[in-house]
Parts: sequence; structure tokens; C-alpha cells
Amino acid sequence: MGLRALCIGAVRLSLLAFPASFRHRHGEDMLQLQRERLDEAARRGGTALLQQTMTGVADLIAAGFAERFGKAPYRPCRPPYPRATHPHRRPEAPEKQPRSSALDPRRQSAPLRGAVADLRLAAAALARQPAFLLLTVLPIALGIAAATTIFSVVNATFLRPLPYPDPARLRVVGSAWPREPESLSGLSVPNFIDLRAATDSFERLGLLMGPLALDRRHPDGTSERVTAARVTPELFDLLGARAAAGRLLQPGDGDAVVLSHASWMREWQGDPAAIGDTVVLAGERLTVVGVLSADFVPPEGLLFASRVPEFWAPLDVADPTFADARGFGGFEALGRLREGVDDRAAQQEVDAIAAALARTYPEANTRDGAARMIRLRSLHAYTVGDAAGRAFLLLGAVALILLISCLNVASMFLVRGHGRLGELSLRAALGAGYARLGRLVVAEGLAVAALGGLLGTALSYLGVEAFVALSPGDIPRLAEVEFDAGGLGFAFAASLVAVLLFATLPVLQAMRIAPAGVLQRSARGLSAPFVRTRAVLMAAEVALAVVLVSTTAMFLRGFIGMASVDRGFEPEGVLAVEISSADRDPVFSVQAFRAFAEAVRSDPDVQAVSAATLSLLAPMGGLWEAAVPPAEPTDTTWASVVLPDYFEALGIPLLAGQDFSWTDDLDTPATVIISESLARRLFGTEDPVGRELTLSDERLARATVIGVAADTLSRTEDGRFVPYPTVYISYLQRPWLSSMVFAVRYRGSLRVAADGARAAARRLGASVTLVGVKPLHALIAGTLVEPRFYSWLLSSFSLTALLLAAIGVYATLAFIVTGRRRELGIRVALGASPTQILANVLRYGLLIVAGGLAVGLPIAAWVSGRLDGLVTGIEAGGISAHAVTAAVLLLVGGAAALGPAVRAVRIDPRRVLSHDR
Amino acid sequence: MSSSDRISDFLPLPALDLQLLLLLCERDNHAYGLCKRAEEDEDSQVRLGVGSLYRVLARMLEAGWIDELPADPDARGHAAKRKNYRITELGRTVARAESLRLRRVLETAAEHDLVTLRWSGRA
Repeated sequence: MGLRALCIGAVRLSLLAFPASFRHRHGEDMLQLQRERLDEAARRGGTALLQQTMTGVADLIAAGFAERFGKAPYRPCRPPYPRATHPHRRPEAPEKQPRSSALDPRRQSAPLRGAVADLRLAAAALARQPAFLLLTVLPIALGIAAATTIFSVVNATFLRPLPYPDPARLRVVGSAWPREPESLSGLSVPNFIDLRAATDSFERLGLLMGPLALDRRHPDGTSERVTAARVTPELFDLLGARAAAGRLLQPGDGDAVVLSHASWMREWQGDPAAIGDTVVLAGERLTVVGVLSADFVPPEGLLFASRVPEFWAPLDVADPTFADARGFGGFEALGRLREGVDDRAAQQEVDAIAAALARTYPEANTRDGAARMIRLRSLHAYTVGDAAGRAFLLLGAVALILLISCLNVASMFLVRGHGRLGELSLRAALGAGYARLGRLVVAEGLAVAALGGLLGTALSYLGVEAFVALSPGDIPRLAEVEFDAGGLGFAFAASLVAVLLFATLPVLQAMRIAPAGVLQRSARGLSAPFVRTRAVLMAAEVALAVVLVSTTAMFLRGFIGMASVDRGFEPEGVLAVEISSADRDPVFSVQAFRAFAEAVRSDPDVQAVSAATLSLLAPMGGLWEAAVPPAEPTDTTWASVVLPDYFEALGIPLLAGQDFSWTDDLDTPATVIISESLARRLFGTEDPVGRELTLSDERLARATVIGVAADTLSRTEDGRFVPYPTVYISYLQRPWLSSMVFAVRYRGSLRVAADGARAAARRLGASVTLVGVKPLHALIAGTLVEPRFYSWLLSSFSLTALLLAAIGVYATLAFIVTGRRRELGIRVALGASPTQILANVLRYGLLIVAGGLAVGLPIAAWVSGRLDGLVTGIEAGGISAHAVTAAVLLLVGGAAALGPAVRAVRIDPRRVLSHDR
Repeated sequence: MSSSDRISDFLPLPALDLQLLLLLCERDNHAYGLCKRAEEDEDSQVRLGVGSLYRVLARMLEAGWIDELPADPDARGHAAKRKNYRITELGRTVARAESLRLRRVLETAAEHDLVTLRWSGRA
């Protein structure tokens, strides 16, 4: 089915070769006929389908070309054939004058008519050589499509200014510690209020908190998880937001909410009566006061790219609950600099304010004796951030593709031109000037470039859509990506230059050579400089392909390493079910989670049920410190708050001691289980079971270690997998957060298990909300979406490059073999064995590839050194990636050379030599 | 467009054009059916590519030699999406003119003893 759709897509694309009017009139019907022919072929098998597709595409392109530029077999109302050619014309038919008036659009001025005639001539010549047409148009189309797609993305995300008023003056204001001044985190509300009161550099400052995942209760008692944000009214002003209906937030708004345009359309169908409706978010009743306009782009830098708030509620900075939270920096501040204030002056002023804040509130604004800094960063840099490296990597890759395709087309034209050297120099000898010959060749180049451009444009439209649809969401401003005409123009111009440059070279050559010389030459064989040019072009192409392939090999190696890493637990057969309790106090959530676990466990196919807060894949960092008494807890450790049976459900071996018990509660003696690496760190070689631990936690200050669990590996920010020294805490003894991710280990079908979990949640009614159900391995795969996307994209680029290089090598050798027929024939006549002939040609092909490798590999090594770490978890592959690349290219080059080599072996010396007199 | 002198302007017809006109003389047909029939006919030696087929159909429509039948409201599946074509009176005239021309060609060939002709039926 997929193959058929692909084939029909290819046919549909090739319809573009026809003029638009023709397409509108007959396109659908032609497509219908092709569909039937493809279906018919598909019944004979996949090969027949592909064959039919290729025939169909070639036929459509050739016919479309002929329809566009070619001579019609006849035009109605105009005699197309000279009457003199009709020997049996009926005598009674009167001789007619050619009807043509000055108003006839066919009567153009002489130079224009010349140009049209040239184009027609060129089109007719090209239509006679569908293979040449395909081998030139396709690389151009691919190159243009790849370059335009990626350029569109990079331009929209990294080069274009943000879609807000006066974006150059927007600054994110965040706090940082001197140890890591570049790592910006949010401001606290009290610090924000004091900063806003003291600063003169900013025209206006706004604050945002979000995205927040809130439970929204519907009037019918059901609830769902929605994404919301809280903002001060100034934030909408800073972003130039407008209301599509109602109004935006105002100072003093308490229980108001503004809808995103999308949620207004989806839920209220764009009805203005939505204004005044009530929305219950996290237990608060909010009144809808307005709707954001459709063109409002949420500030992704301040939010997460993938989560766009549907509800915008007011953030009241005067709320007294914020007053105590000077140390809690969970708010994103945005400001617009005053006209004429530069970054340095603004930063100096803010530095002074930060220093004053640290002196006045040392407990919240100093750490280890260092004062909290407040730093400014442009919203653009903050939004785009480190994704720029990845984008430019892709841009580099497509630039290589474009270059390779240009080289390929150039060499195709060079061959063709060389083949026509005789014809051209004959024409020159007969008096055709540079201009006349040039025009002929340029017309061909233009025709090919135009067709390639047309196909490339269509492909890049699809490409941009596909990129946006498939992208893992790590690219900022993806919603703003659209087809970019500027990028298309550039790619098109590049191909045009390549085509014209190499198409005209033979003309220049033809003008220099006397016709007799050329005719002799073409009889005898190839000119040495010409063969050299071709070989150098091909070697350059191979070198570029080497760079791309080895970069890809490096990425794939890293990706495979990541995807196949053993994390120390068994994700197969485990369902991850996220449940949130209606009660916001975790102490009261315990009952709901116990009930859910029991309900799920009642299914005989469920082997074990447990849960952890936040994530099954990684413990939380930075929250608890642990130590062996009498030492005070200073050693930061990782923690997982879990239900009993956790190790059984996830398949983590318990190395010593025992598991938590379901009978534990807030009053039973505190217990913890520690991971192997934490045990080693705290107790060395001693047995930790039964020992005491101090934790920096008000409820669990002292706890007894009752077990040791095997280490699990978690992915760090830079993509490596390491064991985090972890302390496992029982949720029954230390309820923390009112939502948990359950791990359900089941036998049998995934669907049955998922339905069972959903049914269990339903049975518990309003006390729990089921947030999501996913197999655990899908969650793990989710963390690999980004490297997979880049590996996939680079792989497809590499395959394209390899294909182009193979075509290039094949065409070059085929051409050289044809040119050397006479010489090879003589060798055979003199007793060269087939093996020697085969080796002779193969050696030539491999020499080209080897030349490409010699140039390409050092460049590839240099490039990979620079790419190290651009995409998380992927490091330079070292020598092995280059070795793989070399092997792949030699293999591809050898395979491409095999065809022409076999053809050389089959040369019959008698025919060649008798032909050549 | 019916005077014979104009029709002779189009002669000789390209082989594909005549073949299509003859197939449509047989019965009204759609493009797929025309392809199928052309392939069955081993003598025709004409390879029908979709692109060239439609170039010819388009031109014959423009010239008024064939026209399009209204869609059949009862048709289902592939048949519902096909366009059906019918030869017009003018189309018949053109095909006849070309056939007559070919007959004259053959008669000339017979005069030179290249072929023997045995005409049956009316001329």
C-alpha cells in the first residue's frame, strides 16, 4: 500500500512537466489511467509496479516536455506539413496561403522567435534522450528540494527576527550563580518586584509562569489535563498580543482567563458567547474574558516548544503567598529595553540591583558566599539557543548535497557536450558563431534547469511539510516554518550556474578545434585532458559524499549505541500509566494510589504493580542529601519516591535485604532502599542493610536501610548513560506530589492490559484522573526521538549522496569505455584475457573512488571533530566510522564500475576494428 | 470545419491518431480501454504511453474530432473516475479521409508491384 502510494506520488509529480492548462484539463484523468495501470502491474508484483512507475514517469516527463516546447504533430486550423511532401494530394484541394497576421501571437519578433525556436530544438533533443533527461533533472530536483527545505527551516527559526514588536529590544531577565553564569534560571516574584521598582533600563517588564499542567474539571464531573500559563498583563503588551474577541488581561484581574485561539475554535467553535463562560482549572473557577488572536505566537523561549498553553490566567505578583518565596525562581521575566539603552548599560544597572538584593536578603540570594546574579539575554538567543548548531549541521549537509548534484549534472553535460564536439565544431566551421552555438547549448541547460527547478519546488513544498510533521519538537519556532522562496531562489540559481557553466564548456572547446581535427579525434578515442576533467569532477563528488557518509556513520553509531543500551531494568511487558489524584495534598493521595494499585492487580494477567513519582526512567536530582550518621547530610543524592513492589514491576534485581511493605504508613519506622552505587559511596564494602541514614528531609530525617537494589542507568543531559546513586523512598511513608507513574507488568496483550488500567481508573471515579497510558519501551523510545530524527535525516541525505556518486561513477566509466572501444578491442585482439580487461576498467573506477577518499577522509575527520556533541549523546565515531565510510564507498564505486567493466569485456574486436577504418 | 479541403490539411495523420480514431469507431471508450485494445492489437506496433496518448486525445478534443461523454452516475470504483470519449462526425470524416489517402498510397505501391491488393466491400 505504501509503495503504491509512493508510485502514484511519483507519477503525480511528473505530471508537473505538462503545462498548467493541459494539467487542469486532463491531469485527473491521466492520473486515473496511471492508477489503473499501476494497480494492474501491482498484481504482477512489486518489481512490475516499480517498472511500470518508471516507464510512466519517463513517458509523462518526455510527453510533458514535448507538449510544453515541442512541435505538435498538428495544430488545428493550421497546415503543419509542407504541402509539397504530399505526393497524392487531391487535385481539387486549392493551394492555401499560410494564415498568419500581425496579431497572431505566434508571430514574435525575430530574436524572440529565435529563442523560442532554440528552446523547442533543445526540448526536442532532450525528449529524445529520456535517460539523460532523468539523470540531470533528478539530481537538480533533489539538490534543490533538500537545500530549500532545510534553508526554509533554518531561516524561519534562526535567522528571521521573532514575530513581536521591536524584537531586538526584548530581553529575558534571569538569575544565575557565579559558578555557572551562562546557565540562566527564572526569577522569584519578590526579586522581580524589587528589580522592576529599581530599574530604569526597561520600558516595561512582565512575568510568566508555565507551562502548567492543570486538571480541568468539566461540568459533567469528568476531568482532563490541560496546559496553561499564568502571566502578568504586561507580558501580552511586550509580545504585541491582540484579542480576537473580548479583551486580554488587565491589572487587578483575579479569576479571569484568556483562551488560546485554537482552544476557542475547538471547544467553542469560535463563538463570541464563550466570553463570560466559566472554566474550572485546578479547582479554581475562572471566567473567560477574551481570546488571543490567531496570529499570536506564544513565546517559546519562555515555554517549552511542544507545550502551547490553551489557557492564560493572570499572575498576581501582589499575592502574599509569593512574599516568602524569594528563593524560588520559577518565573520567567521578559522586558523591553528603553530606546537608546544598550545591553552593557542595562547589565551594569541590573548587576548593581542584584548586588543590593544579595546584601538585603542574603539567605535567599547568596549560596556558598556567592551572590545571586541577574543576567539579561536577548529573547532571540534564549529561544534559539543551542539548537542553532544542529540547524547549521543540516544546512551544511544539504549544501553538500546541492554541490554533489551540481557536480553530477555538470559532468553529465560535459559528457554530452564532448559527444557533440564533432557536431558543434562542424557547425562552427559552417559559420555558426559563438552566439548561435552558445544559445543552442544554453537553451538545453535552461530547459533541464527549469524542469529540475519545477520538480525541486514541488518536492521542497512536500519536504517542508514533512520536516515540520516529523521533527521531534526540539527545534524552536517550528510553527513559523514555511516554504521559503529565497532559499528556493538560491538553490535554483546554484544549479543553473553549474548547468550553464558546464554546458557551455564544450562550445568553447569546439570553437578552438578545427572540425577535421575533431572528426579524427572522435574516431580515434578520447582527449586526455577531457578524461582527466571528468575523473577529477567525479573524485570531487566522491570526496563530498565521503564527508556526508562518514558524518552519518558517526551519528548512526552513536544512535545505535544509545538505543541498545541496557539500563538495568526490563522495559518489555511493562505498561506506564500516569495517574493524578484529585486531592492536591499528597497525604490524602495515598489512599487513591493504593486503591488504583489494588484495582489493577485484581486482573490475573497482571504480575506486579507499582509506581514512582515523576518518572520511571530516572530518579530526581538535587532534592535530597544523604549521609551516614553522625555526619550531617551534605552529599547530594538522587531519589525516587516509589510504591512497594517497584523492583519486581520494573525487573530491577534486589541485591540484598527486602522490599518496602504495603503495610507501611506515616507512623511506621522510616525505611529506605539504596542503589548499589550509593551503597558503595556511603558504606564502602560494609553491609548497608540495617544501617541508619540521615536525609535532608523534615519528615524522613533518619531512616533505616532495608535493602540494596542493582544500579539502573539514566540518560544525562549530554546523552550518556550513567548510574545515579539513588535512594528509594516509600511513598507510603513520605507522600510527595499528587501524581504518580504506575508500572504495570503484564502477561499477554498490551491492549488488554491498557484497557484494564483504564477500567480500573474509571472504577475509582473522580478520585483519580488517568493522564496517559503508554508501553514503557515507548517512553524510552520517546527519549530517543531527537537523535533518531537526525540520524534518519542524515541517512537519507547520505543515501542521496551515495546514489548520486554511484550514478556519476557509472556514467563516467560507461562513457570512458565507449570512448576506448577501439583501444580495448585491440587489446583483446592482441590476447588480453577478460580478467585483464575487467581489472583495467575496475581499477580506473576504484582509482577515482580512492582519489575521492584521499581528499574526503581528512575533511571528514576535521568536520566530525567540530560536530562532536551537537546532537545530544552523539560523539565523534573515531576511526571506525571512517573505515566504514571507506568500505561503503569502495563497494558502491566498485558496483557502479562493474556494469561498464562487463561491457568492456564483451567488446568484440572484429566488429570494433572493422567499423573503424 | 467540414469542408474536405480543410480536412486534407491534417493529412497524413500520425499513426497514433488514426489508430485511436479507429478504436473509437469500434465503440466509445475510456483511456484505459484504449490502452488495453491497442495492446491487444499485435499489428499496430504502436506503444501507447500515457503522456503521448493524452497529448493526442487533447488535440483531437480541441479539434472537435472526438468529444467527452457525460459521466455515468451509476458507475462505481475506477469506472466512476474514468472519462469516456466518443468519435464525432468530423472525426469519422477525418479518419475516412486518412484511410482513403492510405488506400491511394497502397494503390501506388501496387502499381509498382510492391503489394497485391484485393479490395473487398465498398470504397
